[in-house]
Amino acid sequence: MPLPGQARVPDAGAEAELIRRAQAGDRAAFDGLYALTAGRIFALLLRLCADREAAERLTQDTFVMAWQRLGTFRGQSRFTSWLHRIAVNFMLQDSRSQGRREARVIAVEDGVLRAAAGHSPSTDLRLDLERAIARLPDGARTALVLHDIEGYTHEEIAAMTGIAAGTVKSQLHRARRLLQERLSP
Amino acid sequence: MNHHLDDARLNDFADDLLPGPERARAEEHLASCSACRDTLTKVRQLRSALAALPLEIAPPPDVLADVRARIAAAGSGRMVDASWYARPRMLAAAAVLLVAVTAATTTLVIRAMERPPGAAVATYGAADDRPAALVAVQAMERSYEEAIAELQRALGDQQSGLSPETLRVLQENLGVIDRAVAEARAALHADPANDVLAALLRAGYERKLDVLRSVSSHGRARS
Repeated sequence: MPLPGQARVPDAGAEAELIRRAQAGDRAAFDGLYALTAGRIFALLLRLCADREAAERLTQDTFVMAWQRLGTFRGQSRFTSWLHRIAVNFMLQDSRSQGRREARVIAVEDGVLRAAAGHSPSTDLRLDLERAIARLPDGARTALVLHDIEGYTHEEIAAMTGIAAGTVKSQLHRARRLLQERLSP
Repeated sequence: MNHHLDDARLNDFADDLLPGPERARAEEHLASCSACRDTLTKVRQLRSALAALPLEIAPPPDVLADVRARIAAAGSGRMVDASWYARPRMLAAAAVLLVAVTAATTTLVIRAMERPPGAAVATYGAADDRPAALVAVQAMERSYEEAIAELQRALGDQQSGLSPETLRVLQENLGVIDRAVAEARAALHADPANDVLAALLRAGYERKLDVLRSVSSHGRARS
């Protein structure tokens, strides 16, 4: 899976050792895995949910589930990809069960967005982009975040979300079109 | 090809998804159509901007605490049985393991924090509020150090209940935990708003408390 240029790639050997120890029940090692991956999971969920509280809750759910199912992780995919699938599952369940859409409005607060944008000269542009992503319709936002930010293919997104690859592609194109409209001066 | 490229075709072109012959036809059209070239440029600019967003945003510190609490409350069978603390040989071996993991985790995370320029990891919350973040870090340290000092005082009264070999191994390895804590602490003081480092320091203190508590309870049980 191609990852965007900003991916932090942990030392694969050290990560594998932490996984092995955590699979044996070592909580300190699991803390280490959390420290390495929680930022990826929280960022993903914050963008998918466009809701800070939901992102925090689902980040918790993801890591609790990861602990419970760690024994099933066989290293056939990257550990972060395995976590992403758990996180996306929780997001989809949460979205269906709570119908958060109306209540959510735009809860990705400026403080979080500012943190996400960093302090570069292009901060304003990034803030605008994050806000515009948060305002996208659910399906379009999911396709865009997973494809254009996280680097998954249409087929991988289809497998994660249970949506046909062709639909993922059309949702992605729709998301890009809406973003361009909303970001154009 | 004289017709403009539709939205799907332009996006597929930008994503390198068009098969060879179709791509060649699209390239031929783009060479002569400035409107389609402009649209393609906008798609590519958007993709670049999205790919440049930070992939990591540190969650608030209490998320890790809640994860730990939920795992403990669930009483998963995968947890290490707490009764191993009561066995001196296992205690010594566990101390070695704890130390190794704490040190490895610290090194691993601090190494991972040394990311290339531009590879931002955003910090949730008061990223630009260093004094407040440092005060919070120092308050956390004081709280842990008081708890540790109290346990160490209690342990001092109980040392006769432990075998010399157990005591020696524990002292050696507590020293290594201290070095791992010091490493995390130094990194956090340099970057006090970094929640990952804060979580790591907290984990180090927690491990030290776990070991001291287990030694203390073992000493009480033997006395």
